[in-house]
Amino acid sequence: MVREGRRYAPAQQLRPFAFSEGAKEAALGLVLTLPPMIMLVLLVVVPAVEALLFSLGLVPKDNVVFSTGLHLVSSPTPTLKVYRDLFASHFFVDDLVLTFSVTFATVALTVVISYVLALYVRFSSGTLPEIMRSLYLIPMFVPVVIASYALITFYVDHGLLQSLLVQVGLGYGSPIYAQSGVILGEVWTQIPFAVLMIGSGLDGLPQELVEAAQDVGAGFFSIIWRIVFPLNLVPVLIVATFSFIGVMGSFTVPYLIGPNAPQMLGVAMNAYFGTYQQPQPAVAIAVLTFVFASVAGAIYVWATSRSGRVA
Amino acid sequence: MANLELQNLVKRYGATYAVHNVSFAVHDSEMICLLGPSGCGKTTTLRMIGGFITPDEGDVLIDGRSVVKDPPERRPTGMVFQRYTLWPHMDIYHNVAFGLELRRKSRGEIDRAVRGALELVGLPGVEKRHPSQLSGGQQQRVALARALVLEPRILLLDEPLSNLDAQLRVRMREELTAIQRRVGITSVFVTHDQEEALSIADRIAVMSNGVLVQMATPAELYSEPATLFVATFIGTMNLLDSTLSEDGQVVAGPFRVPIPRRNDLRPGSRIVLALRPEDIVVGPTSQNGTPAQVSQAIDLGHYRRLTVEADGARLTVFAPKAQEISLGACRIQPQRALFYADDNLIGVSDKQAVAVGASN
Amino acid sequence: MRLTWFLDVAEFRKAIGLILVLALGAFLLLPLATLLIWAFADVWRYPSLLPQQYSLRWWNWVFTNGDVGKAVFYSFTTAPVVTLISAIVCLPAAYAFSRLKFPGRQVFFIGLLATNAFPKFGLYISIATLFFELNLINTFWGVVLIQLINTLVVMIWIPAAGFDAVARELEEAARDAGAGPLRVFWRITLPLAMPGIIVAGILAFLAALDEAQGTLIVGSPRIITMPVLMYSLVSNYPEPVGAIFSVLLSLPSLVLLLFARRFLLAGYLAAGFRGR
Repeated sequence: MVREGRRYAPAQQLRPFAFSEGAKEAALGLVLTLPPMIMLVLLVVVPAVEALLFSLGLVPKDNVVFSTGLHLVSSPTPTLKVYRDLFASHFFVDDLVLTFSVTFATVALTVVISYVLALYVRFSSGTLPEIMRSLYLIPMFVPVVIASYALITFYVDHGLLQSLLVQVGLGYGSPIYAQSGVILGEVWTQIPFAVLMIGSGLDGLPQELVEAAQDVGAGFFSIIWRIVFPLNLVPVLIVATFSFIGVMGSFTVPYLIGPNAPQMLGVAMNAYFGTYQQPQPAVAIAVLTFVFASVAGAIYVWATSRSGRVA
Repeated sequence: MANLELQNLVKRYGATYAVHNVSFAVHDSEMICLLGPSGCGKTTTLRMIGGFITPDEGDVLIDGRSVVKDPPERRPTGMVFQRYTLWPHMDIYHNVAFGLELRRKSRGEIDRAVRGALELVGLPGVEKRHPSQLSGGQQQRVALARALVLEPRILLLDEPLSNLDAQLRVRMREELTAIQRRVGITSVFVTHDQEEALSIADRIAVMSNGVLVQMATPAELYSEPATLFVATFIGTMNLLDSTLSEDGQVVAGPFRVPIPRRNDLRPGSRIVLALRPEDIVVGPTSQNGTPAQVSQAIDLGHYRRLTVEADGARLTVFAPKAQEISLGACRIQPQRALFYADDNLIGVSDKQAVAVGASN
Repeated sequence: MRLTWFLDVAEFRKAIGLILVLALGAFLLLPLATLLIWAFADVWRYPSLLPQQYSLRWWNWVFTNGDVGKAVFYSFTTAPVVTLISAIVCLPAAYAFSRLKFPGRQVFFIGLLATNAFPKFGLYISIATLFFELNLINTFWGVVLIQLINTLVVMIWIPAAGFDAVARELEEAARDAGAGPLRVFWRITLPLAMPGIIVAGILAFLAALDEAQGTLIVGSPRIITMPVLMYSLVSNYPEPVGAIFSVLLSLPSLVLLLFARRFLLAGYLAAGFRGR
């Protein structure tokens, strides 16, 4: 029987619209991650994109700093003229070569020195390795400015090092204000992170693997070369990548310790912007540095995704 | 073929002794087990033989020559570890060949040796695979092949089967024994599993708190354990506290057993009577024996495990499957008993000498 | 005889160890020691190993210098503020990266790394104009924002590793005993992840304290911090001044190093960077 004006639905549960557990988790995750992501977008991504566009010749009218630069290349469509001009300048090319050679040299030295220190701490016991553990952390707690200044006062011509050497009758050529000084300073600051990373990789190496090699007759260098090295590649790659990115774009060490010409890219950027009043080449250099660093970063991503697969 | 001798080995960590004056000899082609609970010093002893730990005092001799000053890579020993044995970044071939390559053997020799070793352990043809592709048991077999391929004089095994599941463990230890006998290599095997030790060893060295308590064949260890620790560690044992009575009898729970006269034992001394569960016979009340009560009977397949109570004592008894047992009153007769004073075995009573009587 | 025979002899091994420690010690500490000596020197001419004349007059100069006072003030007000804001903004995100599944998680995480790859100086140039329009140039908060950039990555990665290290079973046991999600976070997860968070906090504080380029562009001449002042002191004044300033600027780092030695387990740093 049907009542007047109303229709009864058949016996059927009306379910309220419920979110699944997974959807709730996803929403919460996004909400919590939003604040820093927004900050990063506003403070990094947006300025980076603006810089990129500016370097491609698209001069923003409302940007006072950019639009009042000298030697502006302005064009309605993206153009590579700024970059071409840079590469045409032999000053810039010299800077580029210097930056790469310093970066590669630093990375190589850092990896070698840090590996030696990490091996020592891992395979020895007693008070000396304990001292070492605290020692190699020191540069992490010294601001880069101070570290650079300290290195300058020690290594400079007629500085303390030369005074020490002259006591034993040795000659001396100061690395300060030369390429080797920059490498020295960069390595000095990179050591803590590198040793910590490589050391942590070594810690994950089961002692049995080393003992088994000893048991079959392997000596010290055989074990390092054939067992320890191959099983510890990922941390080394990570150290190399981070060092590469850091040194490529570094400013303080080369600014204070380095030569006036050629300069590292970070210093060159500063010179174009501040001294020469040319913001456009400055941001173009920044973009280039980012491109080189991204290649290194891509290697890092590849390396860590591989480490997930190796047992 | 080689002899191994340990002389007065001592290893201290701070104030504690991990290994305290351990000495024993292993004869040519023997398989010795170091058996004991965790922390007893068995692994430390093994690692001192292998060269991974340097003893504070004492000597290790292989074929009469002292090797205690040699590092592991120069000792004629081969070790199979408990876990993380194979190098994960090399395939099986290179894992086994590693030591041979270090010794600069020719490629042909190496190929032959590797193939031979893998066949010996029952894994022909796995050269190209990687450790992660093998099961736990297979990995340990490769580890054994790697150790044997270098033809060491002493084979050392550090609880190699402990990480495998129960059934696999039993199968693997039988294969391990077969391989060891076939090759005839002098071996030292560490384990905490007494069943494992009893089944594979020619002789067992039982250790506790860094000390070697008893070294004997499995049969001797089982039937005449030298201390209460060994008696309870190996197999199951019923223990009854008692005192020596005036007339030279040991009165323990429901039993009254004579003990061979000894001068150093005065009446009143504390004696522990120990009986194996299978050495107590249970019979119906019509038979001779001490009155007792069967309070529990568990069928374990090929035998029955009974809990029997008599005179305040609770005994575990193993009865054959064929025997008819019902709960309740019964009679029990001990067939064989061991006597311990001050923790040491002082006497054994076998069937003939055991007298049974009520303890009143 | 093998090439490495000496490694078997314990005495040689110890000697090599000693050489390594002394060499590293000299490499790292001698330059710092030089600065320390300079801070108390008046005249120090080559080839003398120690100053010919000591004096404390430069200390007097530094402490009475208005610029120095201003720089110290702003350094020690911006850095803590930056660390605090960074913690508030980043720690929830760190928790999310560690414990929650949400779309774009991998992308965001890699994006964090990518933002580090763009040279800061290039960013500062662009940011400067943005701040100009927002009237943030020459302001305290402008400097805070600039210093904040350097801390975001470290404040997410390392605490995320710290949260990872808290076994889920511990949280589940608390839920089982009747605690709600917020209480579990407050009483179980957060305290256990605290060492990692403290390490991150220390590194963030030091990063903010150390920041010079961005602060120079956005803050000067009104808001200057110690590193910014350091650049001009180093170039324009004699060695003792730079040295004294270095000592002052190092003090907070030293205090933090002693405090953090307990917490600075290599595992946290390395785990953060090892990738997820």
